[in-house]
Formats: sequence, structure tokens, C-alpha cells
Amino acid sequence: MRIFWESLRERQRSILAWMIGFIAFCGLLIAFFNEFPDLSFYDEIIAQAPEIFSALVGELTTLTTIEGFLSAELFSLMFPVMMAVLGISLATSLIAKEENAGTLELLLARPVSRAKIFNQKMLSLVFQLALMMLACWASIVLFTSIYNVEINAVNLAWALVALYLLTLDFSMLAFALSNIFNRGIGMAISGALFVVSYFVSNLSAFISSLDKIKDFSFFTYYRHYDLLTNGANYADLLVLLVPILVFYWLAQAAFERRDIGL
Amino acid sequence: MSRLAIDLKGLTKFYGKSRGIEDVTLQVREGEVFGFLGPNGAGKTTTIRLILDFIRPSRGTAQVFGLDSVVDSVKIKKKIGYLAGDIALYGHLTGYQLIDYLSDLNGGYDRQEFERLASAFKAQLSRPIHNLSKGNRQKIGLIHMLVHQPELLVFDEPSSGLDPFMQQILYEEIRKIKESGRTVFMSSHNLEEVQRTCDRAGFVRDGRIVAVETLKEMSKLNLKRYDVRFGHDILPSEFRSVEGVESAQLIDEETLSVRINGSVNPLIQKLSNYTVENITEQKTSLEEIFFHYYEGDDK
Repeated sequence: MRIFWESLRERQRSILAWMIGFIAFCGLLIAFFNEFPDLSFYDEIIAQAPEIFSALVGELTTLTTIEGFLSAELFSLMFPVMMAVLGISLATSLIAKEENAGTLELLLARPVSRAKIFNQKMLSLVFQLALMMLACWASIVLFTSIYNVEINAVNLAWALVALYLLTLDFSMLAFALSNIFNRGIGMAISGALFVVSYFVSNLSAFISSLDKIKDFSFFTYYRHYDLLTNGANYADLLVLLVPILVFYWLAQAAFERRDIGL
Repeated sequence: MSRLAIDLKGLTKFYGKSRGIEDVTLQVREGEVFGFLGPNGAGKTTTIRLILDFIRPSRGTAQVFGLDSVVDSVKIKKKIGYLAGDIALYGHLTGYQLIDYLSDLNGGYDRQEFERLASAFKAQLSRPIHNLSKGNRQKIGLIHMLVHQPELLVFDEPSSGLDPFMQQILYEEIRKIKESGRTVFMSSHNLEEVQRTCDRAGFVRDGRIVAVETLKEMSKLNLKRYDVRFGHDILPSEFRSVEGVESAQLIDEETLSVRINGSVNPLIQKLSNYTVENITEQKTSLEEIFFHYYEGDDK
């Protein structure tokens, strides 16, 4: 597991900075929720706002409960964007950056299989993203407890698991594309797909033509408000999990077969 | 007869439509120090990268100690140490950390050998690598390669970035490797380096092996080049039929560059018929030796 640990060591400062960022962001929002407990007037605004507005900014069921507040302020857009930026940039740098720098040859010249190098690099991506989710879960649980706001920690964990899988969908796609083509293509296509997927899923209720393709959008299976209020939806989680395995297989197959360092 | 350390058969690599190497067939015996000579872009690095399975052949095979470079890549790398001339190292690590990391992947190393190499190369191992000069990075690269005492050492332009003093130490290490019966495969465009260290050398040009010679045979090669300045215009064709002259080309209207293989006497006799202002003997370049073999190949 030495390659895995060295990959983490190389990024230790960055990991710490991202974790602090997530913790601070969660803390700030929960403090905001606590300072303005009577958010019912927002609910009235939401009720009067055009549906397309709520579709674009998130699932604004209610802002008066912590679940509705977190769903609208964190899970609908901010968390997915932050995680996608981190996940895609990490996925496209783990191998491609080393390849561009020439250091990948140091590993390939050792008696270590390509599969082992690939899997340990991939594991470091999965682990770093999991650390972020853990930091978010711990900080939300901690800050809600400090401000005496009741939240179901298990349901929160399920919402974060869904976010984690959603992030891995785009990250593994970026990982696969950067191995099949190059880093730039990996970032561009997975980033574009993230944006398209988000809009397709959220606008499909209003644009009938999008309704036909919304099942192909990862965001359709990321029902954060339901998860925060009702807990796990295994079918959705499974749908989010399958593409990760497919992209993983594609990425590994590409890395096994291709020329390195061209 | 000793077994083959490297056995390349019809090894070919195309990058899309452009050719890397084509039909390279070459054997390097165990215990031999083999120089792989050629100008930049000739295909030296491509050949090495195929042996190490960084890239996959379009045709042909590469075997190391009888093992296939693609199928048995991991087994082969237990026996190989590799150093690139323009080596890239992890800049955030110190030399100690880097060697510890890479050695761990190699299954450990001999501490005493490490201390000996660190002392011989006077390497700065406790500073982050990104703060080191190219020469110091190259020393760390050499240590990380030599410390595992591999059976086959593959160098790609090994003395690149090393000062003359460190080059001597490197040559001394190569001598010790040879004495211990291990094999060295070394690419270079430095003829002197190959002459000092190698038993045999292969010449590669435009992706093809042009010639493989022992250094003994190469030393018999009596190639010389003279620049002759006349006090008048001269035609190169007048010298091309002189015995031993391989080429005669004008540098300017009154100066001729003549390359000969063998005795200089026929040229002197011919020159006695002309007014010669100056004759200068030029050092034979590697390119000229290539040219010699290349022309031979054409014939």
C-alpha cells in the first residue's frame, strides 16, 4: 500500500485545507440557520416563486427545518459543485499529472504491476473523497449539537453517501477519460456532463423533451431531501454505484493497455 | 556460452504513422557492458522504453533473461535497474525519503551499499529534491538505481548533468558492475563515454540498427578528417578517387574537408600536386563514425 500512502502524503496539505473548508462552511451555515430560526417568510417566498426558480436553486421544500435548510443550501448545489471540483481535479491528476511530470516511470520501473499502481492511485482518490464526506458529517453533527438543532445523523449519513457516489460517478468518468485520452479531455467532458446532468435533472419537470432523458442523468438518483428526511433509498444508491464500477473497469483496461509517457 | 541478458527480435514501434524504431534485432550477453549509440531522435530511448514495458511494441519481441517484456514485466523489473538521463523525481521528497519509497517497492535494499554509494557520490539526501541542482538530482537517481544491485542496469544517457568528476565515479561504478558479472545496457551519444566503459556498441540511426561492433573492432577503425586550405579554388571530385578517401566536401571555395579511413599517405601524395596553405586534423565525431557505418550499410 506504499503508493497509496505516498499519494496521500503528497496531498496532505491540500486534503487538510479542503477538510477545513468543508467544516467551516458547514459550521457557518448551521450558525446562520440557528441565528435566523424563523425562516417561515422564506417558505412563503418560495411558495410564490415560479417553480422553475426552485428547480434551478434546488429542492426548496422548506427552509424552516434543518433537513430542508441543508437540502436547499448545501446538498442541492454547493456540495455537489465543491465535491465535483475536488473529485474531477484529483481524478485527472493522480496518474496523468505523474505521467506528464515523468515520475510515473519511477513506479513503472519497479517490480509492481500496472494494476497495482492503478488501484492504489484510485484508492487514494476514493479515500480522499470519503474523508471530505466524513468531515462534513462530523461537522454537521457537531454544530447542530452545539446549537441544539435536532438532526437525524443516520439520514444525514445516507445523504452524504449519495453525494459521495454522485461525486465518484463524475470523478471515475474523469479518471477513465484521462487514461483513455488525456487530462484535458477528462476534465472537460466530465465537467460538462456534470453541468448538463444537473440541468437535465432539475429542468425536466418543465421541459418535456428533457423528461425523456432525465433517467440518464446521475442527479435524478441523488434525492438529497428524501434521504435527509426518510433515510436510505437503496435502488437510487445502486444506480449511482453501477457507473462507478463501469468507469473503473474502463479506466483500468485503458491504463493496462496503453503506452505510458507519450 | 553465457545466456542473453537482452534479446530483441524485429522490435518495431510506430507512433501513429511516424516510426520510432523498426526491425531492431539485437542481443546483449550477460556480463557485457553494451553501448547503444545514436544521435538524438534515432530511437535509443524508444528501444529502452520497450524493454521496460513503458510502451508496447507494434511488432517483434523484447526478452530480458529469457522473459517477455510485456507478459513478464513484473518479473523482469526485479532484475532491472533503470535510470533516465532527464530523470524526474518527486520534488517534495528528500533523497532519503525517495530512496526509502522506491526501495520499498523493490522489496528493500542493502543499507551498507546505500551508505557506500551516498558517500561515493557525495549526494545531498536530506534536502527536498526540488531544491537541488540537476547534477544532484542525477546523483540521487544513480543511487536509487544502483542500491538494489540489479542484474541488468539500463542507463539512458547516464552522465547527463554530471560534472566530469562525478562522471569518473560513475564510470568506476560501471567497471565494478562489470567485474561483478552483471550486465549494463547504456544509451549514449557520447562516443568517448562508450569507448571508456563498453565492450560492444550498437549504432542506431533513423530507428534502425546500423552496426554492432566490439570496441576492439571500433578502435581498429582508422577514421580521420582533415580540413585542407588551398590558395585557389578546388573541386572535391578530384579527391574522391584517392585511396582511403571516404568523402570530400567543400567548406568554402578554397577549403576542403576530407574524411579518410586508413593511411594518410595517398592523400599527402595527392596534395603535393597542389598549393596547400594549411592542413588541420579534426577530431572524428560520433556522427562521422555513424556515417561510416551508414554508408557501409547502404553499399
